[in-house]
Amino acid sequence: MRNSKPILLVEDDIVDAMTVERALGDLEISNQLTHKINGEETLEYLRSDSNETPCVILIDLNMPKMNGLEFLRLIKADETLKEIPVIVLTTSSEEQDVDESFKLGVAGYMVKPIDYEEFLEKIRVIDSYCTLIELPNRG
Amino acid sequence: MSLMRNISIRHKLTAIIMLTCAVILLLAITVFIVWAQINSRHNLIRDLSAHAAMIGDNCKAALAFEDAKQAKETLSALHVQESIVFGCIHTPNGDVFASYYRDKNGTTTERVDREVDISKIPKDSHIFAGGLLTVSKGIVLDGEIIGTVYLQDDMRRLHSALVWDIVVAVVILVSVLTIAYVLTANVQKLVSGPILSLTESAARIGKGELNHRVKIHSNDELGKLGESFNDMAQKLKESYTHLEEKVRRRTVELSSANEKLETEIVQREQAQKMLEERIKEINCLYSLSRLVEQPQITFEQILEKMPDLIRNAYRHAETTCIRITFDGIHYQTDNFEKSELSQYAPIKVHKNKAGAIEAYYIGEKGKNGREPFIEEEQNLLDLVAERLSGIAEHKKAEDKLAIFRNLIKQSNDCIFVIDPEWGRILDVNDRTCESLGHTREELLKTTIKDIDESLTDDSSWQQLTLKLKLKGEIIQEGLYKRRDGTTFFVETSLKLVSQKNESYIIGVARDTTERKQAEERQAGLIEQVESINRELRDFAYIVSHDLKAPLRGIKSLTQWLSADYADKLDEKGQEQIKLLLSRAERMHNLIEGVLEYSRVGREKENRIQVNLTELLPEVIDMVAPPESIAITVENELPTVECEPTRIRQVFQNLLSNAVKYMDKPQGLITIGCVEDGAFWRFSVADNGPGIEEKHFERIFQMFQTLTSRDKFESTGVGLTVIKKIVEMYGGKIWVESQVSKGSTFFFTMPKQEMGVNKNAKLKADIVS
Repeated sequence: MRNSKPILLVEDDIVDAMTVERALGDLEISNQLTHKINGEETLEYLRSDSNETPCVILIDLNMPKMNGLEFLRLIKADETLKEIPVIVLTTSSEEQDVDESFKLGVAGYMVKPIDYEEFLEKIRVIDSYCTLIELPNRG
Repeated sequence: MSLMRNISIRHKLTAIIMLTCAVILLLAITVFIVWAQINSRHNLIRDLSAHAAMIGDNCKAALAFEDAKQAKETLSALHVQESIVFGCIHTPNGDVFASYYRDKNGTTTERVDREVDISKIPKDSHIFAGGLLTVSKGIVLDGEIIGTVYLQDDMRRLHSALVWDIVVAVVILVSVLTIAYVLTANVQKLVSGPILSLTESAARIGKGELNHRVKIHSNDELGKLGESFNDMAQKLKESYTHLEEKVRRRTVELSSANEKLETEIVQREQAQKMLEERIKEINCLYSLSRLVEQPQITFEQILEKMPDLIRNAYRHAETTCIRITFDGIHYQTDNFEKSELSQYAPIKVHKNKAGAIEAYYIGEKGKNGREPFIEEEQNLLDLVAERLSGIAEHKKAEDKLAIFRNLIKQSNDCIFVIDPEWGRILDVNDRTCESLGHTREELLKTTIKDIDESLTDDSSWQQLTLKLKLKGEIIQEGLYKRRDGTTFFVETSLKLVSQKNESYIIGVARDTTERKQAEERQAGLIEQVESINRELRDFAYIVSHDLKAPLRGIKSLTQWLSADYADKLDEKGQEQIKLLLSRAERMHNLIEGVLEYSRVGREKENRIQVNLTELLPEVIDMVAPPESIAITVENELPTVECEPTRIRQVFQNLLSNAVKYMDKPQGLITIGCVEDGAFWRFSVADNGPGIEEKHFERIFQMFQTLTSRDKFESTGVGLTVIKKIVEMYGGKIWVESQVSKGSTFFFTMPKQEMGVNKNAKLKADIVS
């Protein structure tokens, strides 16, 4: 990634979280990975001033307590948080979910591949995206 | 005058002539006498005045000298004139200066007495008084009146002249009248003679001597009169003769007319009798009509009353009996018994004999061998029979109609008639009253607008009638209001009918409350089923989804194990890791299959017109068949209304199956389409391995594969998904196949979008 801001991962599945962590390691992406397991916790984290604003949020849709779409709705309604690019990383390939996510202003939507190699590929794309695309930078 | 009327014309003529002469003469004589008298008077006055003047002149000297004696002498000279009986001279102061008298004997005397006061007579004038003429004359000397002379005459000359005149007049009168009479007596014969003769002739003709004629004496008016009279007598004779002839003829006519009249009277009497008979018959028929008109009367009641009515119409009612037989039942008069003398008329209903009327004569046989029954009575029987036939037919028809009416009356549907202009209710059946809670009378005062909730304003009513006029019939659902304000659902059929130039709307309304409730129940059930289905779908989705996550975890971890610990695993270990990964992969596919299946019908897409000719090349590209397999589209494909993703899925799955299982070196896959009624029938044929007939059904069930999954990696979901899609559109799918030769998959799609085919969809959902 171009900047050194942390990457925020919202994922309840520990294996999936491990996959992301492993992929980041394999791709030698040095940004810190912050892992939250649901929307509520993530919001709390984001709203706390002591925490650094992440450069990108990777979010699963299917989560306990507050699912991804609900989280998206809240974050996009929040003036201070809505600028943060969010990329959906989910098992759902439902069109409805895709539509809904983009309506809520996500920066990207990725279906988790079952194959790790493919997964690696996707993370590489996310990295390229975040590197090549100008993102709002509020320090 | 009455005297004149009675005397003869001859005397009348004489009298007239005489009278005329007398009157004329008298008039003439009178005028003459009066004239003579007047003349005489004038002469007398003049003479006397002359005498007075003369005396005055002679006495002037005497007066001047007042010599009375002289004056007296002058006056005495008057004695020459015998008629002067008195004379005197007055002085201007009125004193008598001198006077002279003559008495009756002619002797001159002193005046004794005089009736006339001469002093009052003015100077120079005269006066007739006391049978005397008195004259005064002033004596003037040198312009001064010195005295006045008065003379009196006894008018004896005048009187004697009058006497003479009268005597002469009488003599003339008598002579003239005598001559006139003689003349008249002769002359009048010329006039009165013919008149008398005419009178006599007229009298004779008047007495009847019509051949008598008047003798014509002259050519004058009387002659003409005589001729005319003769003509008249001739004419009279002629008309008399004519009249006599006429009278004779008239008498003949009259007597013949009289005879005729007598004949007519006889005929009239006969006719009267016949008329009475006819009246009896008419009465019978009239009574029948009256019976029929009674509203509640039955045909049987009519038949019961008829025999007596018919019998009364017979001439010999007392000795006649009647029997009516109808449908095997007898209706007869009390005196019924059969006899040889009878009349008979059949009663037919719709040309089939249904009964008969019989009449029997039960009295003694008529005199002179005459039949007791007459033809008219037979005619009456025929008429009554015909009428009864008609009534029977009518009653039958009425019974049928009554059944029909009953059908309407008791119908379970509300049936009513309304007028198309204002919507007034004209008639209703019982059910309508029951359903609406109104009485019939109340309903007949209301309009459909008061009842149908959808017709509360005039514009909706006008729209409805307009629609009715265009279409003739409308079937619609609505809400009817009961009397108590509650409402109920109805399905109404309104039909515009014309009868006898008038239009009516006939309405049939069915209370659909129960059906509505059933429909609501059904809708509820469908809703329930749909909700269960939804839950199931969601369940399938969630389960699949939730299954996928750990599966992916398993796979990732396995891969990491194989990568991170490759040096620690032997070949067998590696092989097992590989199998573990492939099984995880298969499980992943199965889950994807389930997800795909649950997605059909769950994810809604807009139905649009899809041109399959354009779509198919894209699908073929996606399937990406190897070069050894040729996919051809046999004919032009239609455009169908559907969700593009779904139709794509159908073709894609069928084609990829055909490609996947192809066992021939030259694969041939053909896509075709034909019309099949309201459907398009598509076919996808291949020359692959074919399917045994026993599997024809199985292949469409989920997870059913015909080959080992280790040989052909397959989920067994593809055909199940196709089946679900096709059935969702209301189509069918089936397969025809010959083992080792190939298979043909057929499916149908409706040409027209069938709308929301709930049942088909439901079926499809339940299957899922």
